[in-house]
Amino acid sequence: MRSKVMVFPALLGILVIGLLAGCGGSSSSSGGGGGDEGTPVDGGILRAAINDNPDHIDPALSYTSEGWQILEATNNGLLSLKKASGAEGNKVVPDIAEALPKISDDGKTYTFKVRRGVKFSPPVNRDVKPSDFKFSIERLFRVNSGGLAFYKGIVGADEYAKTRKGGISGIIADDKKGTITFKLTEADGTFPMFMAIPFAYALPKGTPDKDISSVPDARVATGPYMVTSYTPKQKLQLRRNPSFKEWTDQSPNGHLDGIDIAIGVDPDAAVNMTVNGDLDWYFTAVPPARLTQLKAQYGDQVNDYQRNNITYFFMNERKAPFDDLRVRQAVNYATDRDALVKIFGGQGEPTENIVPPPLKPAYKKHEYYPYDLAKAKQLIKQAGVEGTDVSVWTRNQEPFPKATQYMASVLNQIGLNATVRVLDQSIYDDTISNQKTDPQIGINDWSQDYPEAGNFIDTLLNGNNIVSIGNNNQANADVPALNAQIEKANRMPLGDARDRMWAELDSEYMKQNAPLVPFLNASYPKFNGPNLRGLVFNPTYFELFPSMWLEK
Amino acid sequence: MIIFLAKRIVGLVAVLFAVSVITFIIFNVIPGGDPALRMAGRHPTKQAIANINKDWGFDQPLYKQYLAMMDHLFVKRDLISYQDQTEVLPTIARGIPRTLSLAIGAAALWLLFGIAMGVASGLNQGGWTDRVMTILAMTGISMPIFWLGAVLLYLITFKYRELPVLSWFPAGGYSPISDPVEWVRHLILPWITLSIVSIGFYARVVRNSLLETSSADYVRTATAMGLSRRRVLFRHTLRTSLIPVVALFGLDFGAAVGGLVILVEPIFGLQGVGQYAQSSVAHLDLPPLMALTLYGAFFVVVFNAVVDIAYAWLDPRTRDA
Repeated sequence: MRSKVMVFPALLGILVIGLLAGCGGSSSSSGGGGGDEGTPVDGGILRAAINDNPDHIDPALSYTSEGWQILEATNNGLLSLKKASGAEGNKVVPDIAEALPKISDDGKTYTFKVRRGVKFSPPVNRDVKPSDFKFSIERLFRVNSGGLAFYKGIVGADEYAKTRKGGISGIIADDKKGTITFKLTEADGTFPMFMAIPFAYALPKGTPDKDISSVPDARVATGPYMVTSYTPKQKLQLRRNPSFKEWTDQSPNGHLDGIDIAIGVDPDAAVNMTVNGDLDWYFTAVPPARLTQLKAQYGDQVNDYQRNNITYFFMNERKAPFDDLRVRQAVNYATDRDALVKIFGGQGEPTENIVPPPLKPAYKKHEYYPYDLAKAKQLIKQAGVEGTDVSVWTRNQEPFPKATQYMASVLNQIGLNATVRVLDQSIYDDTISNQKTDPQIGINDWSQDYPEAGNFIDTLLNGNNIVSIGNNNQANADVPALNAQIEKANRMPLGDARDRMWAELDSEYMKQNAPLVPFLNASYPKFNGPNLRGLVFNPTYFELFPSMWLEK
Repeated sequence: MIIFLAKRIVGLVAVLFAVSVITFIIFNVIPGGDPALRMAGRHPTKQAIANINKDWGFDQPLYKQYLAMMDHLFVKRDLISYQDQTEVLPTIARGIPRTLSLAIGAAALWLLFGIAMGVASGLNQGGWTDRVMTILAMTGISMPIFWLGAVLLYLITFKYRELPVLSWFPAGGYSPISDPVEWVRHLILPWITLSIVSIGFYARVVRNSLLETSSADYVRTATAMGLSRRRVLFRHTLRTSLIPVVALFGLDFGAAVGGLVILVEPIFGLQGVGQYAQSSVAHLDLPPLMALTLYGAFFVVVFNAVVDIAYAWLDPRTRDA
């Protein structure tokens, strides 16, 4: 999932860094609001702000953390990620489904029983039916959802993607019995995750096949809040959904009466507003340049969350000199991960793993590449690639260029001849994901779509997923034995056995193939107003609006 | 005058056409700028990309895509953003009052202080007033707008929070008609930020023009005839000295409304047209970029024409040019 681009605020942050330097001290927490929480109080309007429009407030189209935060409060799916922070928040739980799905022995059929009495908000005001879910999944294909790849494994989905007529044969909804069944072309243990992310949220049959973000009557909610007004580039307002009635503790009623979101407040301005008492909460992280001072002056209001993400350099296995394992290993040995973390403002933990720590037990720390420059030089010598020209690619968003400059210096130190290529943030991802560009080595980061190790290993390293454009496997790693292991893990049901397999794959990839130089699990520092309580950071939906409350 | 206006309108249309074509071509030759790929999400399938290309017309020849965009922009007036599929024209319409609030206030400041400083400097050539004004003007000219805005905000937020007069948020949230006092109060910082460079620049221009005019024969004659210094200044020297300011102001105001606000609005969260442009550039979002580029070009061309008319009025020698 993407966070929105914030190049300009980053620049401003850098500009004021000199003014802020020298402030010491630190105070942070790893989830939840700071200080003594007390008893939740109902009422009040949260004064929130966001840098720019949320990409969409249509579950089919939104693909950013900002959009998902809003949708978590307004809409629901058959399943949900547990409305909790930390590792607990990575678990799939029933939402509008009465229970977790029944899975056939071959792992290809998922059957859900839909809870009765869950209502759509006005003007629809009726119970959610199984056929609404079928409609919503099919609508993904009709509105060209960015998330439809997650549902292409449903029988008939490929054909429906071509024709967009007649429905998806593999989704069988029975409104009388209250059941919905999904038939998959092959076993896929990840499917419950796909049903818990906003793309699979219920919209009533008849919702138009276009973005409903700006269509008030079509923005129908099932959750405790509904979007009552949206003026792009200016403001967005959430108020209580009058049709909502809590059905489990996973669908809480919420404490706030509403949320007013001012659009167009950049992260630096948000800090200023919060300090001035004009703002309770902001969507995205504190600019790195402001963090030290805020921790020193307003430590109780700063929360340092852990997200499921990694920042890494990929090394293209189809391009010399990185087609030689010894070179990829040499770069891993020569990289001082602590130095890179410092370049990122110390915001996060160094890592050599592909899977982020919060995804334990799929995360099992390994250390195959302790910093060893001599060994790296020796490997480069053995590979016979000294003096080879290398371009290291980066986006222009700070601190990526600095980290890339560091990597270029590392490559030069071990005997290669490296230069840095900087691209604008707006075109970087698309450019490096294109096989025509085919960069040798570059920096990138990956934040989860859903909280599962496969979203990292399968997406970033499965050779069967290599495509010519939009290629997420930028290392072009393609090890048939490991590809097969990934496919096997994907078929297994979610759980410990599957997680152990991901942990093994993480280890095997770095030991045998070393396609990446993972170096950082970035943290997510947030700064909120002094009266805001009940902060729960879920790795998928981020801070949950229904948990928040305002101290009077 | 009618011929003059007709020529200007034809010129305006030609400029807007050229700007739209260039903007469209630039967007289409940028590597990595494929909107279909962006819309297809992080796990794009070939079929999804093909569907998007078909539905949005990206599979059509470029000239057809261009014509379709112009149709949505000027005829149907329902152009929508690729990034978030919001309507472009209502968003610009909502932003214009905020942008004009910023630009008009800043223009008033830079005219007032720029002329005052230039006159004070010119009348005291070589004296301490001239020196101080020159230093202040050069300091203003040298300050990058985005830096100044960020520093002002920092000072107000962390250092001088007790100064209520400089409270700044929400900068764009007040109307000059319904709440003029709050409107002024909350726009002071953005106005200062946008105007400071121009104040310095105008002060230098007015000073130099004033000195040049002061040595003109007709001014010396007026002084020799025994007219008071004040009368010579206001009736003869200043009027002529301000002719270059008129030309500059027209161009600068057009450039401010059409472009410079992009540097100031995001700092203060004004959500005017400039901030919209900044966000559209960051997302390589062609529909708003196209509309905003034409909007900017429109203001620059129109104010150029206004300058020409004003110039002709002030200096009859230029009317036939």
